[in-house]
Amino acid sequence: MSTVQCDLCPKACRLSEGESGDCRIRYNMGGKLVALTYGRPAAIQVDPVEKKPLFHFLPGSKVFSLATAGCNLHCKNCQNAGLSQANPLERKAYSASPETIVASATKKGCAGIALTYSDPVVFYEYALDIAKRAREKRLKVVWVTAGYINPAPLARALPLIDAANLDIKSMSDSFYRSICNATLAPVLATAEAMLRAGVWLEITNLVIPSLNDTDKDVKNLATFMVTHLSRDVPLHFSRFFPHYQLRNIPPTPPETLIRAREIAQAQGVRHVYIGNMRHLPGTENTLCPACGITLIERYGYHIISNRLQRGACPGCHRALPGVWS
Amino acid sequence: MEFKYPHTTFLNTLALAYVIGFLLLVVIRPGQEKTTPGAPKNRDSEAAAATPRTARPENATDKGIHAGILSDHEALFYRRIQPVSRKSAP
Repeated sequence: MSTVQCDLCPKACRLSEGESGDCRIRYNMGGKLVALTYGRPAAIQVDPVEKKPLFHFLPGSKVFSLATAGCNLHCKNCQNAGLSQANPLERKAYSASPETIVASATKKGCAGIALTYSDPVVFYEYALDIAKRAREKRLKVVWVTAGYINPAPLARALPLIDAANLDIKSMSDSFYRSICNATLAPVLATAEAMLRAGVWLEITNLVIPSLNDTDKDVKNLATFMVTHLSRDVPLHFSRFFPHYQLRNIPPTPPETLIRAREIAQAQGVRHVYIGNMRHLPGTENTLCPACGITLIERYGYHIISNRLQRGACPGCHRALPGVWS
Repeated sequence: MEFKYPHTTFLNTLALAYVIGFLLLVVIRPGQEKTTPGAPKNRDSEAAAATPRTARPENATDKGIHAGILSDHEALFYRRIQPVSRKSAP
C-alpha cells in the first residue's frame, strides 16, 4: 500500500490508496495523487469583474469565470456549497481542456479568466495550466480564493496571477476552526505573499451577525490591512444571507455594514466598499483619496460613470492604485 | 355574413404580434448569453452557472455536461510516506 501526503494546503492530508483528501478532489490512485477535477469545470459563466468583487481592476470588463467541484474549507455559510462541498463524482461537469477555456474566453471578448466560486487552490493544476495558456493569449488571470494554501505551491502560482480577491473571513483563529474547518495564519500569509509578488489584491470580509460583526473584529481586520498590507488595498464588506448550515442567522443589518465601513476608514483603509446590498448609495463608489471627488460610480455590478483619466483623478491628478488598462 | 369591423381584427393581430415579438426579443432573447443568469444577488455566487444555456465552452459538447467522469491527471505537491491514518482536521 502506498500512502501519500498532499502538500498543497496546510491540512497536509495523508491518504492511503483509494482515499481522497479533505477537499474531496485529490485522490490517491495506486500511490499517485491525482486531481480528479482537472479539465472538469462544473460552473462556467461570463461575469462582470465587479462581481468577484474587484473594483480597482479593469472596471467594466468581463471575466470568464469557472470552478470545479471541491474545496479545502467547509464554511458553514458557504453560498456555493452545492459546488464546493459536492462529491465530484456526482456533480455534473463539462469536459474542457485549458486550451478550450482560453479559446472560449477569447471568443466571448473577456479581458481575463477568473478561477473562482469554489477555490482555485483545490483545482490547482488545472488553474495553473489555464493561467499559462491565458498568458499566451494576453488574458488576465484572477483568483478568488480563501488563500488556504502552503507557501511553496503559492509561490509557484503567484507569477501567473494578475489579480486576486482574497477572503479574510475573520481575524479570529477560532472562527476559522469552528466555522470553516481551517486556520487563520496561512490565510494572512497568503495575503502578504500576494502583495509582495505584485498581484493586485483586494480583500473581502463577509460580515455575519453574531459571529464576526463586532467593532473589535472589524478593527482587527483593518489594523492588519494597514500594518501588514497597504492602505491602498481595497476592502469589501459583504452582506451575509442565510445559506447552507447557517440558515438560522438573519441577513446582516445595513447599519452593521455601515459601521464596519466607518471603522475601517477610521483605521486608515482608503477604499472600503459594501456589497450584496443595493440600497446604500455611495458605498460602492470609488472616491479620490486626495480631493474626494467621485471617480467611479457603480450600481451593483454596473459602472454608471468612470472619470479616471489614465488611472488618475481628473481633478487633482493623483494616481489611483489599481490596474486600469 | 357581414363583417362590420375588420380593423378590430387587424388591431388584435397586431397586438398579438407585438406581445409575441416582445417576449421573443426582450424576455427570452434566443441565442443571447445572459452574463448574470438568474441575477444572483450575492457576490461571486455561482447560482445558475453550469447550465448549458450559459457560457458553455467551445468544443465542450463532445462529452456534454454530466457527472461520473473524473480525471487521473497527476497532482503537484505530494510525496509518498510511511502508511499512517488520514489526517482529517487542521
